Amino acid sequence: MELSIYLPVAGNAVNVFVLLGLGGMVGLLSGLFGVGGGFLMTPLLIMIGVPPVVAAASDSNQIVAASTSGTYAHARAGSVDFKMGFLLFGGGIVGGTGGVYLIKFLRELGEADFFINVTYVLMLGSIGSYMFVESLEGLRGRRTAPVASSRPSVYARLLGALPWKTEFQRSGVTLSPVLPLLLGALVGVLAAVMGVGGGFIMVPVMVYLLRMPMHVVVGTSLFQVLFTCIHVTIMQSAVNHAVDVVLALLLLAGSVIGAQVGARMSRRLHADQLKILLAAVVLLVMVKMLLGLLLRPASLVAYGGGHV
Amino acid sequence: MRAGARAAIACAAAAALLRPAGAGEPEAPPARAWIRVEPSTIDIGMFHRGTTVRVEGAAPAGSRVALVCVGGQGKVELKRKGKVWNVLWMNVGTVAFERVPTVVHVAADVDGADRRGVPPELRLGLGYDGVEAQVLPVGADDATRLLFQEFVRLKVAERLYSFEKLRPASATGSPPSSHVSAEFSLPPGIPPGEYEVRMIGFRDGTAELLATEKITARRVGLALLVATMAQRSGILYGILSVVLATGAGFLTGVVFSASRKPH
Repeated sequence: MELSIYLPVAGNAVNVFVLLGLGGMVGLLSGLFGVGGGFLMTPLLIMIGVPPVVAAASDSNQIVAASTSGTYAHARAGSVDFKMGFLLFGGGIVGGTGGVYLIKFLRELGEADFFINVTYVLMLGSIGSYMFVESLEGLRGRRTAPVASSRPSVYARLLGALPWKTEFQRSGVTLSPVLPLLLGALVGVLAAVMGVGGGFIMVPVMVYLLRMPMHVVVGTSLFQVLFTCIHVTIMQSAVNHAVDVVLALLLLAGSVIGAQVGARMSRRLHADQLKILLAAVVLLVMVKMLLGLLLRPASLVAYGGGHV
Repeated sequence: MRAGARAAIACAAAAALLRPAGAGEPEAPPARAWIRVEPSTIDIGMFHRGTTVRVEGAAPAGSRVALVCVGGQGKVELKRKGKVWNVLWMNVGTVAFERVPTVVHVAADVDGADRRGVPPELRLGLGYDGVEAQVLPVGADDATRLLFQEFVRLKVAERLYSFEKLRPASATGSPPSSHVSAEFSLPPGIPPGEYEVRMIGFRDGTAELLATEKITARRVGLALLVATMAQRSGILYGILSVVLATGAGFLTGVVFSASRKPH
């Protein structure tokens, strides 16, 4: 059945059911893994005829809805570490701003696209591979217990050296608030460089560097993504006039339901199962990007703007 | 493109090779050319799915006729793709074209027409060659020409450009005139603005603008309200968008959590 709707800001008409389906699929990923899903949604929207800038901006708006829905579900289940979320978000704002200036500098040098593409493939490839192997070992029961060492690792020594140790009760960890601020800033830089919300980088950072339990990671990541995307939506509306609220509403109609289903599924799955699924998604995106770099594009010119 | 931006659609139809009037008959004055477009106003509302514009008209016998539809002209800047280190395909710069029409639909049969004396403003009647002649500077290199071809292919895929051949029509009436008609499918993505439909005649190595009609595409209703607010009150629009999104997300969360409670 063909039911099209005109998108006033995008200036094009698209099939309503396609938008609902896309929203549902990305919302499911959001609730399941705690990622915003922008790295999947934006290219898909461009493929169905939405201009790149409008696709990226409107996607941020629908992520606000999906992450509100997901955060609410996780908060009711007690799996959101608000204190950690605020610290990561604070760092993310600083890092994101720095990242924007870094990209501006690289654009002036004419190296931005190369830097962005290589960062994408390397980040996705390394994070995805590490998570995949690690969770596969966990599922097979082969994960080796950490060997007691007389000499702590560099990272452990760094953790120990940081001041103002604080207990994060929900996450069950005690560490300096400087660490989540620094890591939030690092993810913010990468998110700005890669043009995404950063959820799929933030999740591994929380699991492996902040040592948070997976179920708290998903809820906390959604909480952080929510604030990041509120910021981006308002900025995109004010500066680029590129948010299509009709597009966002249709996407969010699917995504809020998908996010709820995803949040339910995430509570039923084992942490390693969740991680291996996310790793598979990340690796698939990386392979798609790599093929895009290696194969001749369908057209030698493209309209500008939006995500990579 | 902004509303009110100048746009000209030249929906060009049918080259018609007409029979001369019979020998011995007194020479009739040339028929007056005319065109009619239907619809002449396109309302872009929330359920707009594109429009088929029907163009009908008549030209003096003996002319080759083109109906051309052209949308507003402007500069287009595109990302140019190329190989880095001879391995990786990525954006390697930008390419800009001037005087690019937003919309071009041409229906014509001008293969045999003499093109030497065609003035620049009527070249679009020649189809793709005319668009290229309008946009590319004289002596453009092969690389630029290739990129422009790729750009036109993008536009054709978006249904904003089309180049079709029309069948010759026979001359009828007194004075004899050639009736032509064409249908142009304008996609939902056409920018609001004013468009022009032109009939261009080619004869004896020259071209002449025979008739024109205007089409207005305008946003209406909710589509107009949303687009205007997004453009004029960006911050307020952004805040409202966030409020709507958080409200919808929160409401769904509440509904789902309520549905999970044991009865």
